Formats: sequence, C-alpha cells, structure tokens
Amino acid sequence: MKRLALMALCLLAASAGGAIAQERSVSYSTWIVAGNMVTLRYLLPVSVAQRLLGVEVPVLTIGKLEDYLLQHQTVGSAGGDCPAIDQGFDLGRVDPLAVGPDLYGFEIFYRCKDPRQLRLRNTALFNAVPGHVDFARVQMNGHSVAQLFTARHQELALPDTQAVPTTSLAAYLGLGFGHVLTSADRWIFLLGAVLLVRRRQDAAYLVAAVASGYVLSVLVVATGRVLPRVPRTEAFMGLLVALLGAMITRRELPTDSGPALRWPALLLLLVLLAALVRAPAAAWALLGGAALSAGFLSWQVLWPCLIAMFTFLDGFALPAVLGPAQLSQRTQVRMLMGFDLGATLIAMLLIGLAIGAWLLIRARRVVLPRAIVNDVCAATLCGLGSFWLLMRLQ
Amino acid sequence: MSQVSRVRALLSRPQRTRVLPALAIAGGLVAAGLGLFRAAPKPLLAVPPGYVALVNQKGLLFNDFRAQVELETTKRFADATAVERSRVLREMINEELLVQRAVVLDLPETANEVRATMAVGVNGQVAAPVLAYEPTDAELRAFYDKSRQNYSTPGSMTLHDLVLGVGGYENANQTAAQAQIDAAEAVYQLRSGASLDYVMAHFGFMPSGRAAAGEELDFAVKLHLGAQLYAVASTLRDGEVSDPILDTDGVHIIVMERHQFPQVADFSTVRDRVYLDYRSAESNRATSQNLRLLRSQASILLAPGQSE
Repeated sequence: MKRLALMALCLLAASAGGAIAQERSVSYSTWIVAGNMVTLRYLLPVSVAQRLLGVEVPVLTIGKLEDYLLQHQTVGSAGGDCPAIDQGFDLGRVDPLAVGPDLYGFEIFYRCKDPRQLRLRNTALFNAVPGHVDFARVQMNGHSVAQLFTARHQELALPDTQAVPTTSLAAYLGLGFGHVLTSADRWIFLLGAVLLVRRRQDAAYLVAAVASGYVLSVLVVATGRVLPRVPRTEAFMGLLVALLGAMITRRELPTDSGPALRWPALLLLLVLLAALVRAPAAAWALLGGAALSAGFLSWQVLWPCLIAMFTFLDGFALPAVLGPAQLSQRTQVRMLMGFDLGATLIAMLLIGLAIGAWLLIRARRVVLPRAIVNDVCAATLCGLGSFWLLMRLQ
Repeated sequence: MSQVSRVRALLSRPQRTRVLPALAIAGGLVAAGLGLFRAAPKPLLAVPPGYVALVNQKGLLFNDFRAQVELETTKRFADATAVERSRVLREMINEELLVQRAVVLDLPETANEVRATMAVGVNGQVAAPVLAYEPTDAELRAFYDKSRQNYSTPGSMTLHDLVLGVGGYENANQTAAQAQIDAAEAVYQLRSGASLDYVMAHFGFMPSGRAAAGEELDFAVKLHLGAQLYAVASTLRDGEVSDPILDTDGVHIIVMERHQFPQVADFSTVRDRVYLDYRSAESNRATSQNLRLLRSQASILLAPGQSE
C-alpha cells in the first residue's frame, strides 16, 4: 500500500515536471548578396513570434516584429552600416510577406556604400531565448551556403571574392548536444534506460541501440521519402518513455503479468478515443504503440530495440524543423549527421555518467533500497511519459 | 506431416510465447510508422504531359501556351516559328515569376490596382456561367416587356414661348396681376384663332428666348425652358396653347406648333440592345448574389461610429 501511495505521489510530481519540456525556438533567414544590395528574407513561426511578443493579434504582431527586426537584423560593410532602404508605396523599410498560415515572413533590402567586407548580423531572439537557432542560407557569387546563427554566433563575415564557407560540422554537433540536454524527455529516457542495465553486456547493448537509432534516422532522411508528423512523433516518444517505465516495473515483478496487459489496454482505449475524434493518423500511431507495448512487455529481452526506436525518432527532430529553410537534401543530411553525432555523444556521456555514478556507489559499498528506487523511477517515467503523450497528441 | 499437425506443433511449441510478441512488435512498428510518418512530397523533375513548363514547381498549361502564341502572332500554332514560340514562352515564364512574386509580396493586400483587378476577375468568374447561357427570344421578350421604358425613341417639340414682362424698365408700371389678366385674354384670343403676330403686337408679348426656332428634342427643351415650363409643355398637343404661367421674368404662354411624343420601340428593332441589357442584368444579378453569399459567410466588424 505504501508503495502504491509513493508511486501515486511520484506520478503527480512527474506530471508537474512535464512543464520542463520546452518548444523549440527556430527561425529561418535567407541573405542574398548582389552587388551593393543585400536582401534579407526572414521567416518566423507564428508560435515563436507570439511567445516572444505576447500578442495574439497578427496585425499587431507584424507591426511590432517589423520594428524589432530592423533593430536586430543589420548589415555592415567597409563603408559602415548598410541602411535598410524604404521600399516605396506605404511599405516602409520592412515588407511583410505572405508565406503561409504558420509563418510570418519579412523582407528587408540593405544598400551598402562599399560592398566589401560585408558582415551579416542577426541578434534577433537570442536575448529572449538563448537556445534559439536561426537556420540561414547565404546566396553570394552564384553559390548558396547553409549557415547557423546562434546565441554564440550572431555575426557572419563574408569574403569579398571567395565563396562563403559552409558551417562546420562542429556547429551541428553543438546543436545535437544542446538538443538532448535541453529536452527533458530525451535525457530522462536515457537515464531511465540505464536502469535496464544489469550486466556489462547490457551497457554495450544500450550504447549500440542509441547509436543505431540515430544512424538509422540519418539513412531514412537521406532517402528523402518520408517526413515525420510533428508533434505526433513527440507524443509517441512520450509513449516510449512510459513504456520504458512499464518495462522496468515488469522486470521487477516477473511473475505479475499486469503491466503487460494493462498498459496496452489503456493505449487501446486511447486508440478508440482518437478514432472517435476522427484522427486516423493518431489512431494508427497509438495502435502501433499498444502493439509494441504488448510485444516489448512480453519479450523483455528486446529492450534495446525500444531504446533504438526512441533515438530513431529523436533523429527526426532536426529534419522536422528544416522545412521552411528550403535546403537541399545533401545539406540536410550533412546537418543531420553532425546533429545526430552530437546527440549520440551526449547520450553516451549521460549513460556513462549514470553508470559511473552507480559503479562509484557500489565501490563505496553504499547500500541503496534498490526496489524502491526502481519503483520510484519507473513510476516517474510512466507519469512523465503519459503526460507528454496526452499533451502532445493531436 | 499434415497442415493441421504442423499448426498443432507450432501451437504446442514452448517458444510460442515468442511468436506473438514478435508479431505484436512487427505490427506495432508498421502501424506506428503509418501514424508517425508521411510520404515526402516528391519534387517534379520533368514537365508532366499537358504542361509546357514548370516554374518553381508550378505548371504552365500547354493550352494556355498555344492560345497565347496564336494571340500574339495572329497565326495558327502550327504555323508559328520556333523563335516566335520561344519568345512567347519566355514572356509567359516571366509573367509567372512576377505573379509568384506578387503573391509572396501579398500585393492583394497592399496594391489598390491589384485589388481592383482581382475584384473584377472574381466578378467575371462568377458571371461566366450566366453569360455562357444563350437566352431564348421568349426570355428576351419578357425582359423587354419588364423594361419597355428603356427602349423608347426620344420625343421632340416645335413651340413658341412668349413672355409678358413684369417689373422691367420697359414695363415698370405693369403689375403681375395686370399681366396675368392680359395673358388670359391673349390665350383666349389665340385659342379663338388670332394670329401669333397679332397677339404679340396687341398685348406686348415677346419671345422669351428660351425656345429654339425649329424642332428640338425633349431633353433639350427641358434644359432650355426649365422644369416648370417644360412640365406644362410636355402635356400640350399639336396647336394647343397653354394657360398663363407666372415665372420669375413675367407671365409666359406656350404655343405648341408640333409635339411628337416619345414612342416605345418595337422589340424586333431593339433586339440587340435587349440582348446586351439582358446579359448585363444577369451578370449584375450573379455578382450581387455572390456578394450576398460572401457576406453571409464573412465575419465583419465595424469600428464604433462607422456604418456601411
């Protein structure tokens, strides 16, 4: 009874902790350099703009964003700052573009007195959201190159005659690092997975599963045949977190077949609900989740596949936000390789730290109440996973 | 081993517990894949049949190209030279690029000319099905009967407008009452057969200068006489003399020499006009019907103090 009460408490605490899961803050910019003119096209997701400005009315949001962008998107050259030019009619210096219902678009023209030693500065949003990323594309001298603007890299110097250098793989590696560290569901899942490690061999399986999931996602993205349905994939990752919790519980209670039945049954109930609200894709995803849960909970030795599935889905986190950037398939794969490598390395670091800490505790001969620790962790995973699943399901 | 015994053996195998989980996982992967992923849109790398070019993945129809070539060269498509075709295609691609740019710049929201053109375009599209229908003679005649007044020939008048001045330097002692008595006598004599010259000389009437010497169309008469005198003149028939009419410059008498009243034209003579008016009326009806529908579906909020 005490155990149940503790688990319920953990569920509540876990649900509150779900608020940590933050929405990604991204924007897209295209810089076109032609002679002494620099054209900037800037795209900002509506949700990011509304979060930034706290205004729900599009007209007011656009008006405020125009002033904000003029202050935070600038171009400098050997002849000093390049002013944004008035575009005539009653447009002013920032022309709002029609780029679809989910994005705000703006265009600014800068005229430089001296087009040498151009410097593109993008400081928009980094003060408000330090983790913000701007996926930029620079077109110059007939070449188009993908670049990144981040809080640590807000200025880009353009060479006068040579081609603009491409962003280093390390930049995308850093993105992958940051992505795992700032996504609560990712690192909680990875740390939870460590609880399934019982032998040295299991640790190797875990690491291999993490890496193989990310590698597989790169391969699938490289084919260019499928796109993830966001945020449904995020909801499914919540389901996998909960399933991990259920697997840990099942392992602790090998004779109790309850988790193997109850969790899939609960998911089937959700399938019915999703079917009732006429969301066929969500119903398919949940049905798949129910079948996977039944399979994994009955055949626990396949737990590395669950880990691989999680990291495989996480591998689509970057392609899911790259659509409006209109980058070539090749560029996207290159970016994803860096990103996934970074995510893999940080995941391994987290796993290594957790295993190292456990080995240290064992070496010090500290006795932990293993059963209750496992129960608390499993309950936390189930609570958080269920919360993320329900909050993100559409 | 028979089929049945094979199934029995499979079911009685101790590993059977592995079969179902494996099936569940495989089925789960497929179902989850269907729900979590969608096919990426494939970019068109070749121009599909029926199109002449793709501009940013947007197709230019071959039929439009053919029509444009024939319009610009005034030749049949087959007779147009390769150079002419290339020139027209280049122009069409340029136009498509500009249109795409206009859409991105949201010109319908910012440029009045574009808004006006779009409004005309929508009205034209709404009216197109109505205009495609050829009305029968019976329908045209019914329309003509409902709006006969629009098909009348204009009337004309030949008249004399005489005035007996009041209060002028040449007739300073003449009062309005005296002038009206004289005018009534003059009218009596004119109606009795006295000549116009005699009456003018005897009573001191002068031509008012408002009426032309010869025949004038109705609208011109109205313009010259003014509303008050025209209202009287329009009721007079050939040879009739009006009652005295007091105006600002004196007392008037109108003598109608010849009055041709407006006449409604026969349907057969104005059929072409009726046809055009019918189409125009139908087109207007379709556009107002469309606007009513759009308004019924729209959410329109007016600022305080504003009305439409």
